[in-house]
Amino acid sequence: MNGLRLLRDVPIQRKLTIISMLTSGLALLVAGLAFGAYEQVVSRGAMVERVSITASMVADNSSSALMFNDPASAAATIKSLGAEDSHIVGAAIYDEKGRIFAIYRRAGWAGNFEAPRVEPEGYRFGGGHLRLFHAISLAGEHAGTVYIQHDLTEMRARTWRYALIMLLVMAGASAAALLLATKLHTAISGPVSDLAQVVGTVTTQKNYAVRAAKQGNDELGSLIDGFNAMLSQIQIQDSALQEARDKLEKRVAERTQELQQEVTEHTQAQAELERVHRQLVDSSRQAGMAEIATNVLHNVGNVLNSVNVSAILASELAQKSKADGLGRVVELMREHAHDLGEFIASDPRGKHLPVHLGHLADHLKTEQAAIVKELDSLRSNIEHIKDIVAMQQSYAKVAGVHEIISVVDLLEDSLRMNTGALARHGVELVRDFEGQPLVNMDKHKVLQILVNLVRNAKYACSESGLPDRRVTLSVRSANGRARIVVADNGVGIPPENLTRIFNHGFTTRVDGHGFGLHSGALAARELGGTLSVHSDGVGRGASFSLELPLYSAETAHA
Amino acid sequence: MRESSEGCNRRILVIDDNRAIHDDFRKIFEPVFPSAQPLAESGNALFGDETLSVPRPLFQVDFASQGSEGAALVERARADNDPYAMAFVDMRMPPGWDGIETTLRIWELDPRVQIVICTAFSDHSWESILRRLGHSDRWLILKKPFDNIEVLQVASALTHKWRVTEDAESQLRHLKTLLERRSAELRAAQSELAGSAPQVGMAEIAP
Repeated sequence: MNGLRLLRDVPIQRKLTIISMLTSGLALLVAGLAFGAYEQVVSRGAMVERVSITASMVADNSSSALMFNDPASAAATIKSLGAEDSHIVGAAIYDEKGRIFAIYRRAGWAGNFEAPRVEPEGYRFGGGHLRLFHAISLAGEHAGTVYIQHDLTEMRARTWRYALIMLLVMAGASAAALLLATKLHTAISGPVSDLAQVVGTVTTQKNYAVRAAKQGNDELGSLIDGFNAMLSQIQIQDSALQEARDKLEKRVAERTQELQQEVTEHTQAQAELERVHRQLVDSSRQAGMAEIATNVLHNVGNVLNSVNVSAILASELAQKSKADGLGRVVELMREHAHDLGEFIASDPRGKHLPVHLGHLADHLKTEQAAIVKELDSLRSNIEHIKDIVAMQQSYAKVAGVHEIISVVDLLEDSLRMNTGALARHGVELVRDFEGQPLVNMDKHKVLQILVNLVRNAKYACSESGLPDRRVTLSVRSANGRARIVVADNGVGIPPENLTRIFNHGFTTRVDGHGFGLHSGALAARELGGTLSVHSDGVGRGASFSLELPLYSAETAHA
Repeated sequence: MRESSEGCNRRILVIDDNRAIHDDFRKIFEPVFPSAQPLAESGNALFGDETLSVPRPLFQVDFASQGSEGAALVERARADNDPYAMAFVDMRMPPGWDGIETTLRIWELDPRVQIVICTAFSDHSWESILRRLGHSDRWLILKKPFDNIEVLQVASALTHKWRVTEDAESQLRHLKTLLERRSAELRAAQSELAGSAPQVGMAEIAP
């Protein structure tokens, strides 16, 4: 089994060679051994026969000598044995009593021949010799025994010769077998290794088109047939698979293209949508601007109307003033300077003087109040027009010029624009500026926001009715942003309004228009900043924070 | 010249969405200071030569902020048999009717009301207004900003016109009734004549 296991991994060609060598060797050996054994038996038989004949000859020749008790003739008889057969190493003739009658020793034999004790007729091999006893009978009477000792050298030599011949034959046969096996193995291992090669090709190259060549209709032939059929099957399946894969790939490619097209169409649709949206925004903005312009003109017209009425009333009042009546009274009094007391006391006209003066004073006072009222109304109306126009300008302005400006300067500008109103409402200003932060943007936009914030703060203060009216302005800069806070201690903002306060049209003032803060928040966003509001509630003031990106040399160059 | 004759209608309606405009009208139509009268009297007593200043015509002014509100006032006035002589109507009154719509509604209720359309901004051309209101002497246009005397004179003239129109109509009605009476009398006289003197031939009647 070990040998078989050893053979397992040996290539088929060698396996076949070894097997054929082993079988032929074994056959030769068995044949040789059988032949040797047969040869041995035959040559032994022949030797025994020959020696027996020699012994019987000796017995015949020596029987008379025995009878005549002539040992010398017996000795001579057996001595001739030496000439007859050189392999007889010794011989003896025993008398009927078993006593040695004559003895022969071959001269030159290395061994020492001693005649053994007489034995009954027979032979035996042993000690490299054939020992044979032959009875001598004379007239049916046992007359004595012949003993011949024959060496086996001849037979041995022949055996060796035979062995040599067998070895030579075996060597020749083996060589022939080897040659034959080498020649013949191709009949089996050839197709097998061909098959193996084809399998290797199929395995490594995935080439199912190759076929193993069939060389006969034996089992290998059917194996190759089966293998080829399998390959064909595989090839068909493979090509079907390939086809399916190709089809799939094609479908994938088609689908990919479709998807790409869809994506492209989608993108185009989106772009179109964006364009339309932008157009819509633009046109709605234009429409909005037209609407605003119409509104503004209407509002300005209305306010101008009030201005006109007030101005005319004021001028009428001034023209028709009864102040000149005072002059006449003074003149009358001057006429009666010498008797003023009597004139007042007793003159029928003079008695009316004090009453008239009283009436005059009342009237003038009323007149004055009316004129002041109209002038006040004029002033507030003109301010209203200014607001409307400023707002219109802020809307009309599409692109401004960017400049590097100080936030504090802008804040001061916005305060200056509100100076009159702030002073009139007795609002105290607290300035809390830190540093001089710079911003790079459209000055008018920032100003618009700040003016709005300051004016809102002023309104919040004046509506609160508190004696202590204060607006605190602070400027800080941190994290690349300028923070401007306009805080008032006015009416405050209810929480529900905090979210709506930046809505378009939202206002809490009777004459408010509701887009100051709205446009302010928009402008802040356009400037890259934010506008936020904080209030703790009604009556607790409010603060608006405008955050703007700071100007820095780095960002300017970026 | 004081308008105190019977049938004089000084009722004016102002329809405008702007409260400030209401105030403007109020100021214009407001009577002079109450202190003027005693002053004038004492002055007259003191100087002897003072004449009473000519008082402005007195108007009775009502205000409405929206066209629908104004129309409601017109309807009620009509029902109370105390109609408005005229109305100042603003052209733009968001969110409700505009001035023209309001005018048309008012005329549906009372065609006699004289209309003054006030406009600050010419968002409607004269042609477009004409198209809707038609050629008529019942409406005027007053551009804002208006003048006090414009308003006063327009009010004065249109209230007068209202009265004249009314007078003319009542005159017409009067004449109509007169005519009917007269023709009835004539018909009666004719039949009487025909009854009492049937023998009178055609020759007598013919000239």
